[in-house]
Amino acid sequence: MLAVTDLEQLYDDHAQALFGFLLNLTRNEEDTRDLLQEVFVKISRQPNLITNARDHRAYLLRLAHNGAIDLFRRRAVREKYQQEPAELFAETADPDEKAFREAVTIALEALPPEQRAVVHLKLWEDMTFDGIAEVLAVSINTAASRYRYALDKLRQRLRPLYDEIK
Amino acid sequence: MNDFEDELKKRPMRQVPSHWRVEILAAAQIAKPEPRPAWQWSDLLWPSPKAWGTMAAAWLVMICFHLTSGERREGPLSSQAGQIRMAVEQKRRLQAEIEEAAVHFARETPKPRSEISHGGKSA
Repeated sequence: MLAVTDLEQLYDDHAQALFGFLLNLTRNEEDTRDLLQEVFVKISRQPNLITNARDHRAYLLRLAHNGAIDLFRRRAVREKYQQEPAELFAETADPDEKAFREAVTIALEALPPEQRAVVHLKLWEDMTFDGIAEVLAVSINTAASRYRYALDKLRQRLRPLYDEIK
Repeated sequence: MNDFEDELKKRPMRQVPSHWRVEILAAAQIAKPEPRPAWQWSDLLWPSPKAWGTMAAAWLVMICFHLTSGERREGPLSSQAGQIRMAVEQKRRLQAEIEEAAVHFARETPKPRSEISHGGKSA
């Protein structure tokens, strides 16, 4: 049985990472909240899931990813979120920086979700391809190639702005 | 990792809304399963469920057999048969009494006067 304090500790340690990942995948704050709650409800119901996991963060990210994929399958119209995507990055007062962050948000959104997931885990979670492969249930080669393709697309889209702020 | 990747990485993600913590943890708390009691029947039965199951089935069969045979013994048919048996017994007893009374009566009935011997008078 998982104590209340354990659940709180899990939330404090991993909720931020799960939030960023889910927001990047869904681009919708409500769905992100629902999926985040779903992850913690699942853990609360079956605490042995997390106690048996080798890497808690990786395991929770995997649950979150599975939840997001299920949501996409349930909802055929994923495009509806592309009209008003949620803010992905923290706010900034610097206008150039703000423009760049908005451009990155749009560029990430243009990627297929499976490539976006790899980019997110590699860049913002500092995970190895080995770990990413485990979270997304794909081979290491698949994870690496998805990352390469995604990064090429991002570089292409963001090059002018990137050169400017550099 | 090249400069471009480093540059992207530097952009911090938005913070998770602080009020979510209470809401999500409360929902998770509600979903928690009921604590398991210290002792359960399954603890006793678990080591040899087949043996316990067989024993329970045998007991059930015995109880069923007992109930059905008891019903037969005390059923309406058996009570009717008992009454008939009692009536027959009573009738037989009555008949025996009548027969006995008849024999006794025959022995006790006085003979006609003409048949009574009057000793010296007749000679």
